Amino acid sequence: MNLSRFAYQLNALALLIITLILAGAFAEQLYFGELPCPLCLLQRVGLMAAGLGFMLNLRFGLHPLHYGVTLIAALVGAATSARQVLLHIIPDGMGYGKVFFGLHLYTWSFVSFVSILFGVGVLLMISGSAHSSTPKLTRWIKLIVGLFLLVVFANLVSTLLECGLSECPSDPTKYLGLEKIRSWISGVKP
Amino acid sequence: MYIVFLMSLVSTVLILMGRRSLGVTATLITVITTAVMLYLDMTTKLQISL
Repeated sequence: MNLSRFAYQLNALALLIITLILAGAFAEQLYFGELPCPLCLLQRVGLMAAGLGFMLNLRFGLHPLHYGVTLIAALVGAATSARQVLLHIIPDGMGYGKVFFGLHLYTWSFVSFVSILFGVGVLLMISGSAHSSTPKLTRWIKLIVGLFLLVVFANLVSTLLECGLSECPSDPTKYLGLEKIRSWISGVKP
Repeated sequence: MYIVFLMSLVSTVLILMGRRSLGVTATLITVITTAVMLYLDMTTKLQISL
C-alpha cells in the first residue's frame, strides 16, 4: 500500500470519527433532553467544517488546500471550546452540562480539535507533495459521507427547532422554535 | 445561529455535487462566520455565553 492511499484511508477514518462525535453529541441531546448552548453549537459547526476538509480530500483527492480548510476550522473550533472551558474554569465550579469520562463535553471538544490539528500535521507529512487524482468513492466511503450529510442536516433541523430563526438564548431550556411552530399551528400565542 | 448550520449543509451538498471551488469557499465562509460570532460574543456584542 502506498502512502498516498494510506493517507486517503486515514482521511476516511477522520471523517468517520467526526461523524460519530457529532452523532454522539446529538444522541446525548435527545436521550438526556439536554439542549446544546450556543457556544456548543458553534463547536459543532467547527467540527462539521473540519469534516468538510476531510470530505474534500475524499471527493477530489488529497490536496494541501483541503488540509488548510480543516486546519482553519479546527483552530476556530479550538478557540470556541477554549473560551467555554475558560468561562467555567473557576475552582469547585460545576461547569455546564454533563460530565463524560471525567471531563465536560466542551473540554472533550477542545481535546478533539487539538487532536484534529495534530492528525492533520501527521497526514500532511504522510501525504507529502503527492497529489492523488480524483478517487473513485468506495461503498464504505459513500456510507461515511452519507452519514456525515445526515448528521449535518439533523443538526440544522435541531437548531431551527431549538432557536427558531432568531438568536439562541444563552441557557436554553426548551425548544423555542418548536413552540413557535406549535403556537402558529394552534393559533394560540405562546 | 441556524444560518451557520445551513451554510454547512450547503457546503456539504456543493462538495458532493463536485463543485470543489464553491465547496471550499462556502466552507471558509462558514468558518469565518463562526469566528465572527465568537468574536462578537467575546466582546459582549452578542450575548451567547452562559
